Amino acid sequence: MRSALEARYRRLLAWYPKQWRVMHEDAFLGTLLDVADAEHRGTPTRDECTSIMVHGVAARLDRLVVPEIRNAGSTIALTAGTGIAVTEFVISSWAPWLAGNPAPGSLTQIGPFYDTGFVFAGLWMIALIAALSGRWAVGRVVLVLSIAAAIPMPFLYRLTPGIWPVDNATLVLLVGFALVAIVGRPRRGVFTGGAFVGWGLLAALAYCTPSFPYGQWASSRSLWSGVGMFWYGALVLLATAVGFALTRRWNTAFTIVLSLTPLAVTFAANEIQGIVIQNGTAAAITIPVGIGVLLLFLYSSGRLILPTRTRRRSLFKSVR
Amino acid sequence: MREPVFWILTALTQGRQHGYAIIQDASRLSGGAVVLPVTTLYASLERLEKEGLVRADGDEVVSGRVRRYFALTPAGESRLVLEADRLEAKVFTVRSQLSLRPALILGGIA
Repeated sequence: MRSALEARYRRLLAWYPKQWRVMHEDAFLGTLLDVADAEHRGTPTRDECTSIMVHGVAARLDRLVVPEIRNAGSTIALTAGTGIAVTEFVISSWAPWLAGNPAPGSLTQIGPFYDTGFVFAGLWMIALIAALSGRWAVGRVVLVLSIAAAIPMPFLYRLTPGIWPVDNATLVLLVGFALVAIVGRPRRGVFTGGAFVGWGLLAALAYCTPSFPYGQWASSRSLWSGVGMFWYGALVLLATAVGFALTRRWNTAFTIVLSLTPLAVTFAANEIQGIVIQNGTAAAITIPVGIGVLLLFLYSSGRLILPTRTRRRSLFKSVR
Repeated sequence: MREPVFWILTALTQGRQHGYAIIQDASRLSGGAVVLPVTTLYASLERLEKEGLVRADGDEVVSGRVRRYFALTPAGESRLVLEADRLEAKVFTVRSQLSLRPALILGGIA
């Protein structure tokens, strides 16, 4: 009985990475068997199976991206995704300042909405509220739903002519942010709420380009066809990350890199589709971000040791 | 400080303990309110070890099973004392507020 139970536990522990198992498997297994004996059990409980799976996956993620960076990246991704989804909804999907259908020949309204942005804005808002109220498990499920909802969108217009989906590039960006948000645990508090508003305003700024059809309808494509606000923003953030790296604030630098990854992937996707972002090339962002992500993986797995910061303040104090 | 961490550190105050003994002590000390799953225990112990609040204190094999012992570090003890002080201050505030309540009500009526 015991050997069968031990074999089952060992199979379950395969969810953990090999490095972890080498160090902890026997001690962990000993405790699992002690608990099973005390409860007179011959099989693992369902809760144990789920918990081992969840913790095992988390331990694997820890070796890919360390938890501090993953959680900080999750906060940024959640707030940026919500900010962009809500702005897209207000400006493209809803546009309450417009009267009537802006393109009667080719666009069919879904109730008061011009495109499917209301679906994503709703789901992202639920995820943000779930995170702020300490129910992140719900937030994660909702973001998985938002990814599932994004998958059929590129085929929507062909299947239901007249129904406009959210633009592909915006969808790629939202899916990327959802993935980064899901793998971490966002911070709760005023900062998170404030960051959502900030990202929303920045997304609104990205709409407000010289090519913005003032007083007319701006589809979600307008986010990517202006003067490349997102490109310039990414460049500034990239320079900031380099600045932090030069001062050996690695966690901050890597958090920026992780948060920029969805944007870099979107630029690459745009380039593949033959959509050239004005005033900059995708490579200028995607290559440095790619290098940064590679360094992050090496750092998290312990294969890259980075020099730590030296504190000079105490030296100055003693000189004075 | 999260509830499982608080009880793990408290369980270790009486000396080095192995995983299952920590689970038993946490349950006993919390009056059965905290039942630590093994996964939570080891995830917490790993984090506490990284933070220098707990250290692994050797493995022993008992009836063919490995038992890893853990012990509280001086930093862990200080952290627990701080937490106890914080909780004590909270309880003191609540108790003093409750004891003031009748006087305030009477004052309000007067």
